[in-house]
Amino acid sequence: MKPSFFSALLSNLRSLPGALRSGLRPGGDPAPALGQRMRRNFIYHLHVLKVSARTLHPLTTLGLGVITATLFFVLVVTGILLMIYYLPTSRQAYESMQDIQYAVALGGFTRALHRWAAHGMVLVILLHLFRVVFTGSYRRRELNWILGIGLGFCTLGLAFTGYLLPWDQLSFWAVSVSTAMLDNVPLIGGCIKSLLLGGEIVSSATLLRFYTLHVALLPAGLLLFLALHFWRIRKDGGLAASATLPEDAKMFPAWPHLVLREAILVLLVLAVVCLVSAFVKAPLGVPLDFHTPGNPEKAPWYFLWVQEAVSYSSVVGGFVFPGLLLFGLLLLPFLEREDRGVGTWFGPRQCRRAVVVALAASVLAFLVFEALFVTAADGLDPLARDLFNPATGMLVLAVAAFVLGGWLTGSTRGAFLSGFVVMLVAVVGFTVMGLLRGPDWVFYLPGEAWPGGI
Amino acid sequence: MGFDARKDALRLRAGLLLSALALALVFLLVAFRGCRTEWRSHQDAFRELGAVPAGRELGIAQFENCVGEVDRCTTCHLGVTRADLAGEEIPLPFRAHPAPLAHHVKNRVGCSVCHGGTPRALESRTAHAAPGTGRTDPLHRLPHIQASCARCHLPGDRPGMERLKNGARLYLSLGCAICHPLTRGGRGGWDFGTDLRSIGRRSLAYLEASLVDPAANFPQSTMPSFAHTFEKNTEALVDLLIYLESLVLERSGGECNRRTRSQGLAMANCTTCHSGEAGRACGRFEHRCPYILERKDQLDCTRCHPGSMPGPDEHKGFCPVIREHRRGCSACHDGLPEVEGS
Amino acid sequence: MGKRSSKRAAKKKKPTSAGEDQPPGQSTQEEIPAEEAGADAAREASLGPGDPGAEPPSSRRQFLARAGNWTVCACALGAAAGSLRLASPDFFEGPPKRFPLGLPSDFKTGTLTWLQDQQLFVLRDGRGFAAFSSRCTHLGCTVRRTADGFFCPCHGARFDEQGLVVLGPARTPLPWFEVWVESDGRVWVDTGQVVPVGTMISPGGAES
Repeated sequence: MKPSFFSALLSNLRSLPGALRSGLRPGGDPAPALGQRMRRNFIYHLHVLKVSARTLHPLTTLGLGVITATLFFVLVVTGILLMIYYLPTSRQAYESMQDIQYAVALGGFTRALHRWAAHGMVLVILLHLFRVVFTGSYRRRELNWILGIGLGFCTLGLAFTGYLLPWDQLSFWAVSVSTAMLDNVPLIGGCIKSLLLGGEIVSSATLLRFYTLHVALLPAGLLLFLALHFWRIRKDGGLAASATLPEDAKMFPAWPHLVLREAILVLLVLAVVCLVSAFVKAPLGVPLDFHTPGNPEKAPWYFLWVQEAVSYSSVVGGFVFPGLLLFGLLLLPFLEREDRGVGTWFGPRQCRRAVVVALAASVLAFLVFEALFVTAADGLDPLARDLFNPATGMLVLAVAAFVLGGWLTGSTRGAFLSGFVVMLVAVVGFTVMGLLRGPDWVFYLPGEAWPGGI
Repeated sequence: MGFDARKDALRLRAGLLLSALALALVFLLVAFRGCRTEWRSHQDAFRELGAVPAGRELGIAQFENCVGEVDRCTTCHLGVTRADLAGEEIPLPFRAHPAPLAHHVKNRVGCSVCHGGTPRALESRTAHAAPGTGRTDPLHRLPHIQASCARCHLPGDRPGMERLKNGARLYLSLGCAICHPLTRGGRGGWDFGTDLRSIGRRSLAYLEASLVDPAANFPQSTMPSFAHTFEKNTEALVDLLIYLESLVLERSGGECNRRTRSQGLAMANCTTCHSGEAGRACGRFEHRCPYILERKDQLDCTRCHPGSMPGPDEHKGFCPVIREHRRGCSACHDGLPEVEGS
Repeated sequence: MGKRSSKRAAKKKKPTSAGEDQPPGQSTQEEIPAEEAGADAAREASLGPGDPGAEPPSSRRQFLARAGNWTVCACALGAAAGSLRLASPDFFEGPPKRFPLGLPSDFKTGTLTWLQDQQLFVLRDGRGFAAFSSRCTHLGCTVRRTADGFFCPCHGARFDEQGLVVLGPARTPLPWFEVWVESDGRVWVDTGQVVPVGTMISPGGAES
């Protein structure tokens, strides 16, 4: 046994460099194409083999999905890096945040990257949603639409839980205000609120809960949904397109035409978000003061429309309006099943016309509602306030646009597009109004100085 | 539509190279900016003064001050404790601190306890709470720095606090305390004025405007203007401002009660130095009182010393609670039975 | 089967490019482009009609592809280096190295006091004060007092009354630290300054 053992060991040692090369890299000598095949398989699990010229055109999807995925990747990497220093206790959170911001090498940059990528991701998923709605791409993709809504929830949840973690004046009071809006949700609102907060008010327990949600539960959920979302895109045969489109006839291989396009977009997104973060610092507010909230105290921008609507009427703004919006979005692909004009912006011509009319009418109506409400609100008793306010007005208008749009265009697509445009105008309008609010919830023009500033 | 696959592939490869180069460029920029931090350039300037022995590394300097804040000021203010750098010719960030309060440095009082600011920050604008950084803990300058003395000392406890003492007196004599009584929770009755217990966080300009023209900060304010009172006596205005700046009670751990209220004083107390949570004791007091050494977290000095810290002389040898007042353990320690003093 | 033959030809032509395009071990960023980097050469030769790669690749395209892949790899390496820089600490939490031990009268002559929080023994004898560490110089456990010195329960190191090694895995004595009497009357110690074993400071301040 001995001689054979030594000789075997010796020959193995002699062939070690070659064995390392071929063993660690399946693409090496013994099976030349294996590694290549593995990598190819990876890409073709993500993409269909052949795509149309329309898919390759940048304006078809605007690359919003790829941008979102890239930003999420940035958020995971920077989030893990920030976890090295962040301490989720009420006493140390702000201090560790200051350490990251001022004393850790590249800490301020990493924090800015995390912050701006997060805001960017929220913005881009909203645009992604608009793109899918306006091009009718939810058709025959019901499951992926629901998955997308789930992804949106996870993203908003991540953005919102992350908002509290600096534990500064802004984050504490913004989260206090936002979670208080849950009181308007009947039956389950109180339960959700106490589950989230771990008590009656935002406290140390809340910080730990939000941290756990932010670094474990929500990212895990988002990753799961993301994998399913990608899988369904592949399974559903790539981008939604109506069969009548002529340019879909000629097909091109996904490699290199689609994959390299995506790679370039990924690199550009990385470059842009890094460049912004290198120059624009992530704000870190003043230390938390439990006794005195800032004036005004606003929710983060993506919840500002709810806060603004709640300031009109807590029932309508906090429950009916967002609830109906969510309900409509969830049922959209099941109630709207037209194949005509799928994949084109705003559908067939009569739908496009309906969208333009709905847009113009809703902008006008919004301004009128706001003006009426601002002048007359003081005289209204609570019940009248619930009935006559801009949120209710826009809701009624959306329903009217839905019915009228459907009737005039003769298609469910036209109905949903018109209704959605009205809701969108309302949400954007409320957000703008919320941004203009100053101390004591009074309106100020963008350049105008707030009184009593410190 | 004309789509040349070959040309497209070539263009894509060029695009990939260009975008990768752009990303690499951005990374280089980030690395460059990351290396050139403000505090590093200050340390380089200090080195050029010839004040650092060759080969000594500087880096971030930090210590925990007596109220438990991490103080990084000496990362840039490298000569504060160096007697050889006291001259006028030494540039300001590096000059030694004036001599009188040198013992504060030794007792780990650090900079921010008196000067305010954000001692953890290493950017001068944030650290100095410059306007526009959103900081509300401004850097105190002479004579306003007297406001900081109240974090540990009673007015009149030490020389050099005369203006603070006078400000506290004015707060009473001008009747401020009628509307702004500085009591915890006891809102009602007369106190319809703004709660001033943390008013010291506001900027000096804000405080001054509040006295001279209250409506400037608060359009609905019903407070009368005190401009006339201070017209001839601007020094008195400064004194009152110093007192107002000293009112940062949740920071000092101070509390108002009947006694301090009657004196018009809302002073820092034991927990300023023997801060409850962290149990850190400041300077000279720490080794004297066994309770501070052993049971820091449960200590509540204010039960016997309402609103004020006894001077260090009262700490002679043993805790005055036991020695002089003959009070039992539960006077300070929760959960222990009351023992009659013998 | 022209497809297969061209595949073989392409393979023969560029064995090195497939090797060099390999992504580095762990790239923290740009996972997708790195994947593509390696897949590049294979893809050129493996797709059906209409695939530009089926024809022999031009040298210009090959150069662009390789330069792009390497730049992406460089970016990934840069990001990894930046992450490591972020993780390496520039400042250190912890108790101060210079602190007061107490008044001279707090320590009676002929006693050895153990300050648990500071991990220090304070020795007071006829000649004066000294302070030395209670951390074993082997692996940092806290030593225990015995009748004739100190014993480390972790791995059995023994030290004599002055902290010199008697037995066991420890090689260096327990370090003695600089002690002095400050102008405020208290005894101070600097655990950053080690002095020779046996250095005592008299309460008056003189060294002996």
